Amino acid sequence: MLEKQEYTLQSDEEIVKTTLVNSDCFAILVERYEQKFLRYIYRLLGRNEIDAEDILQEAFIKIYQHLNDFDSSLKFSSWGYRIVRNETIDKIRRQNKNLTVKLTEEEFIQIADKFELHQKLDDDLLKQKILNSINSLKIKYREPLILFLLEEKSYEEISDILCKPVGTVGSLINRGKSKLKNLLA
Amino acid sequence: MALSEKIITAIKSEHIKPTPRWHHILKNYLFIALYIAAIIIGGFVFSAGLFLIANQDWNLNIYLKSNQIIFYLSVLPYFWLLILAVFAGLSFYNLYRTKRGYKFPIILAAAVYLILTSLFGWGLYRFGLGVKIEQTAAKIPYYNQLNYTRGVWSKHENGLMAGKIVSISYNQIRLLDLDGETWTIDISSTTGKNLIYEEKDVKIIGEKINSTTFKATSIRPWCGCMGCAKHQGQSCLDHCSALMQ
Repeated sequence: MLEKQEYTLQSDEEIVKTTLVNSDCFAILVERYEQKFLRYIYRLLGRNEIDAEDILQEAFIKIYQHLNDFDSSLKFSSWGYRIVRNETIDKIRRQNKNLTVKLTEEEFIQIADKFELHQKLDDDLLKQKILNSINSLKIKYREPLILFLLEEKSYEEISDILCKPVGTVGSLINRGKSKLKNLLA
Repeated sequence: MALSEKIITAIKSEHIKPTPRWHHILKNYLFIALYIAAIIIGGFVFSAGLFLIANQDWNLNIYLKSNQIIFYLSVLPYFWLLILAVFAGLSFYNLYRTKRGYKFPIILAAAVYLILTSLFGWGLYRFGLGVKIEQTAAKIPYYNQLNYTRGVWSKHENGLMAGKIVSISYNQIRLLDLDGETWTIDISSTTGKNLIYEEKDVKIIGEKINSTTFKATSIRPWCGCMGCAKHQGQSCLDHCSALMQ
C-alpha cells in the first residue's frame, strides 16, 4: 500500500482506479478539486455559501457513486465538472431560482481584459454593467462563457462538461461573446 | 473538519458504494439498443411510405380537377412522414443518452438516421414488405381519412372508387369500398377486366350513377400485387401494367 504522499503524485485516473479498491484514496481527489469546484458553484449560484458547500458535498458523493461510470477517454476534471454542474442546476431548479453570476475583483479584471475595456475597474458602474450584461445573457450562452472566460476551459473540455458537440460549444461561445461585446459597448 | 474527511466519513457511515460497473454498461447498451430499434422501426415506416409513393396514380388530378402541384403535395404520405419524424426524435433522444452520443452534432445524427432508415426501408420495400405494412395500417381506425392516397379513392363524386371485389355476375360486380359500403359496379364497358376476380383489391375510374351504383370505365389493381412473389425484382407498377394488358 502506497503512502498518502505517493498517491498525490498519481494522475486523477490512477487515483480513480485506486479509490475503487480503497475508498480512503477518494480524499485525494476531493482535496485536489474542492476549491475549483466550489469556485465554479459560486459562479453559477452567486455566492450563497451555505448552498454552495452543501452542493459541493453532494456532488463529491455523487462522483464517488459513479466512479465505475468514469470514462477514461475523458479528463477526470471535465467529468467531475459535469457532475458538479448538474447538481448545481438541479438545486437551482428545485429552489426555482435563476442562475445569476456574481464576480470577484479578479474576475472583473479577467473579463475587462478579454473585452478590452480600458476604463478603470474601480468604476462601480462598469462593474455593474459587466455583471448585468453577463446575467442578461440566455443560460445557453452564459454557461459556456463562464467555463471559457472564467474557468479557462478548452472547447473540448466544455463539450465534455456540458455534453454538447464541440461545434455547438464553439458557436455558443462566439455568439455569447458577440452579444456580451454589444452589451458592453 | 476538512471536506475530504467529512466525505470519507459520510461514505463509510452511510455505507455508500460505487454503482456496479455492469449497471452503467447495461444502461449504455440499453440506450444503444433503443437507438437501433428506432432506426429499424423507421425503416419499416419508410418502406410503407415508399410503397405509397411508388404506387401513386400521379394523373388523378385530372379527375379531381385540381392543380397538379397541389395534388402532388396532397398525396405525399404525411401519416408515415409524421411517424418517421417521431421515431427520428426517439432515436436522437436515445443517442444523446449514450456515453459518447453527445459528441454527434444533430445534423449528423439526422443524416445518419435518414440514410440508415432509407436503405433499410428500401430493402424492405423491394421484398414486398412495404405493401404489407401499409395494408396492416389500413385496419387502424381513421387511417383512410388520414391517408390522402386512400382517401382520394373514396371521392365517388369525382368518379373514383376502390375496394375489394365481393362477387361477380354478368357485366357487373359487387364491391366493398374503402369505407365499408357495398356498391354495384357496371363493368359492361370497362378496361382491365382480366383483373376481375373475387377478393381482388381494385381501383375503379368511372361515374357515380346513384348512392349504390357506379359505372366503371377503367379498372386498375390496388398496387396490383399485394406483395405477391412474382413482383419481386420488378417494380410493382411494371408488373401490374403487364397484368393489365
